[in-house]
Order: sequence, then C-alpha cells, then structure tokens
Amino acid sequence: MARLVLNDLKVSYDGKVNILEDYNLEIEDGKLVSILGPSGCGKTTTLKAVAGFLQSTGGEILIGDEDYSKVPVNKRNFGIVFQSYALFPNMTVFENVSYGLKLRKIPKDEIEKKVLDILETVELIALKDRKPENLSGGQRQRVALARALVISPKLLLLDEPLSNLDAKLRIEMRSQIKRMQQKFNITTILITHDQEECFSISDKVAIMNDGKIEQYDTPENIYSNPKSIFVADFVGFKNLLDVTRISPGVYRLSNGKNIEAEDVENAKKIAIRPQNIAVGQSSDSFIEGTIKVRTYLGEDYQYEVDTDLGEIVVSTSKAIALNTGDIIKLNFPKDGICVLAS
Amino acid sequence: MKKSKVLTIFVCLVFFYLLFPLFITVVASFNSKDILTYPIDGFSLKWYKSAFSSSYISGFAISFQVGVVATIISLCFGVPVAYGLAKYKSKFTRAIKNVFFSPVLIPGIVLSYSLFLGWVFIAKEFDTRLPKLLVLMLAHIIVLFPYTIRVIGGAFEKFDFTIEDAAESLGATKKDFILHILLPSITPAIISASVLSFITSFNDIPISIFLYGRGSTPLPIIMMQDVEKYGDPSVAAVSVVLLFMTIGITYLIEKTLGLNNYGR
Amino acid sequence: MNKEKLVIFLPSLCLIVVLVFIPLLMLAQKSLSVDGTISFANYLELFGDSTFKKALKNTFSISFFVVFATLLIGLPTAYFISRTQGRLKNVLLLLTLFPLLTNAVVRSISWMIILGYDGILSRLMSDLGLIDEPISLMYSKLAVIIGSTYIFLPLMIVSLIGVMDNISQEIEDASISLGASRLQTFFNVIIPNSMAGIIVGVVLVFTATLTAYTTPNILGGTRTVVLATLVQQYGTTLGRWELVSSISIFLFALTVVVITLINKSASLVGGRNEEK
Ligand SMILES: Nc1ncnc2c1ncn2[C@@H]1O[C@H](COP(=O)(O)OP(=O)(O)OP(=O)(O)O)[C@@H](O)[C@H]1O
Ligand SMILES: [Mg+2]
Repeated sequence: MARLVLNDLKVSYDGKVNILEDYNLEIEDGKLVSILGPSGCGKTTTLKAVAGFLQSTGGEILIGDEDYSKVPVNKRNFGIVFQSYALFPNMTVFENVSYGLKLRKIPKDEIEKKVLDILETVELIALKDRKPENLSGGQRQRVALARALVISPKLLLLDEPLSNLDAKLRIEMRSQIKRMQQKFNITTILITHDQEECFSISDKVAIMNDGKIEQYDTPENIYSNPKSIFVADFVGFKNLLDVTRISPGVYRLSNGKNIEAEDVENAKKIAIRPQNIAVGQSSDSFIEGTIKVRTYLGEDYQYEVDTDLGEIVVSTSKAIALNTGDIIKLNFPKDGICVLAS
Repeated sequence: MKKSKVLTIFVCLVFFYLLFPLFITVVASFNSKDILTYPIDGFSLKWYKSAFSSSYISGFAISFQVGVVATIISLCFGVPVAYGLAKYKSKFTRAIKNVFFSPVLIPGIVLSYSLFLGWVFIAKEFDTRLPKLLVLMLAHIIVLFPYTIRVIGGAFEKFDFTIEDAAESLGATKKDFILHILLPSITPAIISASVLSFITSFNDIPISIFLYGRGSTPLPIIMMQDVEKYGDPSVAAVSVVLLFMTIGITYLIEKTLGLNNYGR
Repeated sequence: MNKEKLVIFLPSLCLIVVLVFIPLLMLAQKSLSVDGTISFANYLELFGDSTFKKALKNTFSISFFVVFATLLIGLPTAYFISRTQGRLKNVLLLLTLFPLLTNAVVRSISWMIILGYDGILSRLMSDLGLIDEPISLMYSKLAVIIGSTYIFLPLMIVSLIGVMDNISQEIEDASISLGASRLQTFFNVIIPNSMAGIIVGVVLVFTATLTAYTTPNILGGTRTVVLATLVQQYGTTLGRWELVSSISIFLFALTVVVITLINKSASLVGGRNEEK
C-alpha cells in the first residue's frame, strides 16, 4: 500500500528560515495529486523534501506506516521526472531507461525485457539507440517518464514536467502521464503552475501559498467552492467584493446594498466569476455600470464595468455584443456567489 | 546539497598541496644561514637586501621591458587577426587560423633554439649581430601571439558584425567605426589579454634559454641559474617579492574584471 | 581575396613565416646536413645515443605519471569546486589559479627544500620509521614527477571545471533518485559527461610535461634528464651542437604526433563532439 502522508513536515534551506512549516498532505493510494501555486510558494521545495534532496528538519514522510524522512534519496525508490528531464547525455535512450535497473543488479535479460516493455508503452522503441540530444522535447519527456517508471517506484514525483513543451504537445503529454499513472496505479505528485493542466488530470489539487496549503480538494470543489480569498483569486474569481455579515445569509456591500448568499460566519468578501454575473435590462437590477473596456476572448466578450462597487468584470457570449460606453444592469445570482471568511 | 566528508577532506589536502610549498618558500626566505631549509635556523632579512641587488634588479628590468614590448606588439598583430577570424568564416580563415596557432605546438626550447639559429645565420651572412634584447622580444611576441588571438577572439565571437553596417549607414568611416565602436567594445578583453600576456612573458623561461646575452638576462633565468649554482635563500626572497606582486595583480584583476574573464 | 583581408592577415602571416616557419626550416635543414651534404647521420647518431634513449624514456614515463596523477587529483577537486557556490567558489578558483601566475622557479624551489637531503620529506619519513639515514630525493625521477604534478595540476583542474560547471545538478539528482550512490553517480554520470574537459586537460598536461624545461632542470638536474633539458645540456653545456638540432626536431614532431593521436583517439571513442 502506498498511501503517502506528510505529517507536520518542516523544511529549511539554511537551517534558520523554514520554507515549509507544519505541512500536512495526505494522498490516497494510486491517486494523482497536483500542487499548484504562484512562483516561489514552495512547490519545488515540497517535492525536493519528499524526494529527499532536501533533508526535512521535522515531521514525517509516511508511506504506509514507514517513515521515509531519514531514508537516503538513493534508497527511497521514488520515480522523479525533472523539469529539465535530466536525461544522461552520455547514454542512449535504452541506457538511460535501464540505468536504474542496472543499479539494482537485476539480470540482464530481465532488464532488457522491462525496458523494451516500457519503451513500447511510451512509443519510443524505434528511438532506443538515440542519444538524448537527438530527441525532440516530447520524446525526451517520455524517456524521462519511462526512466522514472521502470524502477517500479513507490511514488512518482513530477516537477513542472510539461513547462518546456509547446501548447499542443502539453495536452498530449498530460494525457500520456495520466494514462501511465493509471496503468501502473502509482501514487503521484505533480507540480505545476498551469491551472488547466492540473485540473484536467488530478484527482485532487493542493493550492499552495507562501509555504502553506491553502486548500486541498477535488478540482471541481476548488473551482466552484474556493475556501479562501487567495484560492478564489488564484482560480479566476475576478470579482472580489468586501462585505459585512448583518444577519445569517445576508451581507452588506460597500455601496450600502444588501445581498443574499450562503451563510458563512465572519465573512469578509464575496467572490463571483465574470460569467456568473447576469447582464440584462430587467428593472429589478442590482447595480448599474458603464462599460469601460471591452476585450474579445474568442468564445465571449469580457467587459470592465465601472460601478459604485468599483470595477466589476463581466462576460457575455458572442451573441450579445455590447459597446464601450454602454450603460448596463448587473445581477448577482445567489448560487454564483462564493462567500469567503479568510 | 551537502558534500561528502571524504571528498571535503580530500580537497583540503589538495589545497594544502597547492599552497604549502609557497608557504615554505616564504618561511625559508627569512633564514639567517645561507641555506634553503625549513624550518629555519634563525630570522634575518638579509636575503631581501640581496634580492634587491643589482643583478636581480637588472633582470627584472629586462623581463619587464621584454614583457611590455612583446605584449603591446602581439596585441597590434593579434587584434586585427582576431577580428578577421571572427568576421570572415571560410575554409581559408580556418586554414590560416592553424598557421596562427602553430607556435603553441612548438616546445619553447625548440623555438628558442631555432631563433638562435636565425640569429647566427644573420650574423654570418649579413655580418650583423642583432641585439639579444631585440631577439628576446621577437621570441616572446611569437609565444604571446596565439594567446592574444584566443582571448581577443573570444570577445569578437560575441560581437555582432551587423553593427559595422549600421555604423556605416549612419555615415561612419572605417576609422570612426574602429575607434568609436569596435575597440571600446572589446576593451575588457584587451585588458585581460594584456595582463595574461605580460604575466606569461614575464614568467617564461624555455623561450629565452638560447637567446639571452650578457646584460640581457631575464629575471627567471637569473633565478634558475642561482638555484642551479648554490641556492641560498636570496632566490626565495626574490620569489616572495614576486609572489606578493602577483597577489597584487591578481587582486586588481579580481576587482576590475572578475575572475571569470581571466584564464578562460 | 579582398583588400581588407589582406591588410588584416598579411602582416601576421609574415610575422609567423619569418619568425617561426623559416627558423624551423633552418633547424630541419641543419639537422639533416653533415658537412654540407644531406644525411640522416645526426638522427642515426641520436637514436644510438644512450643518454638520448634514457631521456626519451624518462620524458614519457614522467609525462604518463603526471597526467595520471593530475587526473586522479584533479577530477574530485574540480568536481568539488564546480559544485561549490558563491564566494567560496571564487576563492577556490583563485587559489587554484594563483600558482599559475608565478614562474616555475618560484614554484619549484620549495620542492628542493621538501625533497632535498635531510629535507622535510626525509625527516617525515624517518619520524615514521621508514628510513634510518637522512635521504635526498632530489634529482630523481620521483622528484620531477612530484614537482611537475604540482605545477600542472591547476591546468587540469581549470580544464575540468569548465565542463563540470555545465553538468546540471538535476542530472546528478536523477542518478541518485534512480538508486545510485554518490560514488556511482560520479563514475556513471559526472566522468562520462566530462570527457571533453578530460581530453583538453590530458592534452594540455601531457604536452606541457613532454616539453617542460624548468622543473625537470631544477628537480631532475643532470641525473634525471628529459628531452627538453637534453637540448640545453647538449647545446650550451656539452657543445654537441650537431645533435641539438635533431633532438629539437624530434621533440617538436613528438608533440605534434601526441596531440594528434590523443585528439584522434578521443574522437574515435566518441567522447568529443567536433566543436572547434
Ligand atoms: N537553494 C535555496 N536556498 C535558499 N532558499 C531557497 C532555495 N531554493 C528556493 N529557496 C526559497 O524557497 C522558497 C520556495 O522556493 P521554490 O523553489 O520551492 O518555489 P516554487 O514554488 O517551486 O517556485 P517556481 O514556480 O518559481 O518554481 C522561495 O522563497 C525561494 O526563495
Ligand atoms: Mg519550482
């Protein structure tokens, strides 16, 4: 059983400042979890600590019941795919992939069988005698993945594995990663700063900020129910409005109007996505505003609207084209509002 | 990432090996007796007095002159060549590049002897004894020339030659371009090449072996002869003076250019 | 051939022809002439000369040992320096390069003190009970090897650091994560990917030792003669000028052959990508 638990993990580069502190994360066996967050929040640090390149200064890294935090990197048997792929330039594709097995003193014919098997899965058999310098980005990526998987790792760790690929390859590769991960049923941590990438293939997502996990949940929940202002902002709630709770389920906005939404004690802000704001001419409109800027986003238009609540971003489908200077009426439907306490 | 203890200890020993001999030289130069030993029998500064004696001083003057002249002239020849090699890339330039780097292949003492034969030839055929100082300078120019091309060439390789066309389109003459754009943009390389060349010339021994004459003996040759003859601590004292001069120069390089520009 | 190229290259070509090619040709001609006629007599005499044979043997064995020793010491040291960061790295580089900036006499005299009669090494050995009488290691082959290793080690280290700096930490991490120890990683990943620098270092150190004059002269003297010191001894000391030219040509040819051989075999093994 390879259920991973990070328990009160502490990590520091210099022994003074803890980059990660009281870090907790639990990953079920065979699940793929993404860690998402802005640059410098500690994603790579987390991965390095789990991998063992950084010695954690406190806490536990449990796989099943066994604590791995003191096990040396080369004894951990985790598969790691590096951002630069880190293929050995002096070895062919075949040698790269077989390296880990050779170190394990596995008989030669068995190595050959395993390596050819996995190269077949990642469709690289034809290139097995090439050197990494003669491979394309996507091919290198697959070699790196095969090399990490062939050792039957307890855990697969991927640090921004797709960031060096172009947009089309990225989509292809991410489904390949997902396929492989499911085929081998391997517990996986994927580091990324691409929201779409991580939502599309993850079982769960951990949103990190400043060395802490802000929210750990399924992609669907994070998308529609962010638990903090940071997460809401990070996952595209463009409109964040200050509120005070005046009675259960009723909040007062900065322009003095009241709004109804799900009840949250200590609510500080409400968040709403541009596409959840209803644009219309009906008389019972909530607020009014003037369109300042219009941007075309392919499927819809997005408008920056000046209102007495400040600037509000709304979007409409292509069918309804409004112009700069138009005065429009906006409604905030109750189920599109997300109430945030922190 | 932590390094292994064994490796750290090993590297400490290596640096001990690199630096301990220099330390011994410094200590030995203060010996009160006239032998080179460590530890010393007593403390004395008298070898520093002889270090500043006339023969060493004149050797220093010779080496200094040769070094400065050879550095400047090899720059004069080397800068245009480096420019040409970087600008024109053809079979032809690759071929003559080998010609220009050929002195590197010739052992210093062999080059020295062949130039000595040239000197003898001119003395016989034209009845002219070329001054030894001049021949020394010529020999050192040859030794420095490839280094100069390499260091300056490194700078020209990074130079964007469309700038030359741009300057021309703005009305600059060839001379304007060279003086106002080309040379200023490679000044750091010229400085490193000069320092490297001077130090190389100042320290080179084999190239001078057959070429020095009375009154034109370079300092390192004088030092070597003294070591061969008796080896009292005055050579150590001269060495210490040179060491400290080198430290000064290294410090200046580090402050002005940074180490990475040097020795690459 | 346009005018600009002519102005740029011609003066330097003349310089090289006049000061390198013509003197070398004169040297070759002299080595091949006896009493005005062309003959291989000088070379025949040379190859029969026992001192020359000894010098040749010394030169090669010393060069091999020095290359071996500088590699052995240089590889871990260069690796350590390339994996050090910040100020300390600069300091270590500076300390490595510093001895290169002084002349070979300065760097050799301390070895006279260390290796000489009743010197530091001799006393250390008798303290350890290895010898009963004070000894001198001066003028031995060992002395020349130790001194030359000392002098050429920085060359090797600098050549190696150049390539090792370009081996990314991630590649090392990858090897370790796949189960290799640090030592295995050093041999499987670092060394194979440092091949270009190793070859440069080997060529530099081998040819430098092959043609070195000062250190063998000071530490080997007349007892351990190498080709470069033989040129000088047969010339200025013994007056056997007829041999000096042929030794010189031989030494020059040897250098060229060695450099070509190392580079050729390196490109055969495939360690070095054509880059020049
Ligand atoms: N080697 C190091 N020594 C000291 N501090 C470091 C080191 N590497 C990273 N840090 C610090 O640790 C924090 C987290 O860095 P980390 O590399 O984990 O960020 P990240 O989330 O991976 O960012 P990115 O998306 O840019 O890769 C940052 O504040 C960074 O400055
Ligand atoms: Mg990162």
